[in-house]
Amino acid sequence: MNIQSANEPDPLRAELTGNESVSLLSPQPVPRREHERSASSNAPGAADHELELLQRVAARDNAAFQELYFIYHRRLARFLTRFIRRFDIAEEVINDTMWVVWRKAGDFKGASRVSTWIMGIAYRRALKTLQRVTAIASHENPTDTLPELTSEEPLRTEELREWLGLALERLPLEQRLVLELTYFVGHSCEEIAAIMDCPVNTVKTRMFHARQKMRVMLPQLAGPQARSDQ
Amino acid sequence: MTSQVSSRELHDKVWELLPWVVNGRLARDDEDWVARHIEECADCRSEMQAQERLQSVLVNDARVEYAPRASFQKLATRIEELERQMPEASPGETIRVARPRVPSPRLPRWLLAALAGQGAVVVALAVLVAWQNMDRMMAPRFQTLTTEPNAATIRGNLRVVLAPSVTVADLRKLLGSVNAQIVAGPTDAGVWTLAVPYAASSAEFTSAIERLRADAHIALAEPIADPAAGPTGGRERRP
Repeated sequence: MNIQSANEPDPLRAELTGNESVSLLSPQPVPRREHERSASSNAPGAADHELELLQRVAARDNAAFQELYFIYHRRLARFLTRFIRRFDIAEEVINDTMWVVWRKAGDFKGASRVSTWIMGIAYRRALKTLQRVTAIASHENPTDTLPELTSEEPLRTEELREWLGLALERLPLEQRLVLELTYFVGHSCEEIAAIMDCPVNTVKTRMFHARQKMRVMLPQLAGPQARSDQ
Repeated sequence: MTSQVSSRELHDKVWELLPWVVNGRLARDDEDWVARHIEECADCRSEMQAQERLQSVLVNDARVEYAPRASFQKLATRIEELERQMPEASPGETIRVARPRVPSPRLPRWLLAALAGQGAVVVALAVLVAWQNMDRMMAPRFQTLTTEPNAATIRGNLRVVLAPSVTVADLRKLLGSVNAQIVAGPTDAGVWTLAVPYAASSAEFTSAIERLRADAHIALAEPIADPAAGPTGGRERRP
């Protein structure tokens, strides 16, 4: 496992030197930006900065590629390891994704946000990998077999987080992906439809069912039952 | 939203969109009517709080961080190896993922057939050209001074040694008589190399040589097949 504690020195904290002609293999100090602290792509200025980076990557700017790689490694590693338990396999998906980004950066025409484009590549790569490795359990009726997740006692945040992880694993893959792309990565409904290559209404329906199941499994998160027809 | 939409339908539509209200990614066109409903609907406000809590737990789940630099080094090594193998092409076209487990995409059958046909045509053309040039290819490539001038010597030059008494006027007249030009010389041994560029046939070329040999101002005249070849000596004719 290639993981490090959050307390270890972070290589992203270094300052940018502006050296754009060095080898890809040379250590490239990369600036740490505020939006990199979370996995979200929704930070102010993040989209513009990523577009600028991608344009520089298209011009074979190694430093820009490394910075873009670090942004998406953080985002994709945390996202993918929710589905693929083995980091070496998640890393394979990340590197295959970023290799496509390096190769196809010049083809990006700006029809969508950079994050939508890259997450779409990662989504397709991840699906292929998930078909190869059965690292995720997908259940059609998970709530029938999970009475142990419900509790009358109020949960502390750490406990809630652990139970949430268990509950998420019991969601069907497509529903869980919509939930995580929305809350963990910060995509809009339309962007998720583009990433998953499905209609917008399908995204809304998947999210609706994911919320319902989460509410049943984790009443501590739940709001009131509000849709009378469901 | 229009007034025709019932409050129940409106509520359901807002309820569906609440996750994107929570993550701040609601479409701008939807912001106003969704916000108005949420303001009036206690159930939606309550659900929003639940979803905000869910988002908070998900986003802040950062107990471990993955080291990106080691992963990047692997990808960079892969890219650099491939660029080094094919440095003449543009990187965007040459970089390939070096993963032997993944088979390279197979060419479509029609393309394979076209390539096979193209290959057959190339082979047939090569055989035809070789057959047409068989005589030339089989002809002897060597030549001695005793060999009669053949087609190869038509395009050749000739070497001459002038008699000591030859003046510039004599030389000009001599060259003009056989339409020859000086292309090299004289060497230390006094050898000039002449070309007869307008000789239309080997007979004309041979005739020019004979006329030079018959001239009192020429001590030696011999054809050469290759202008780069060194002096081969020849029959001396004394004036």
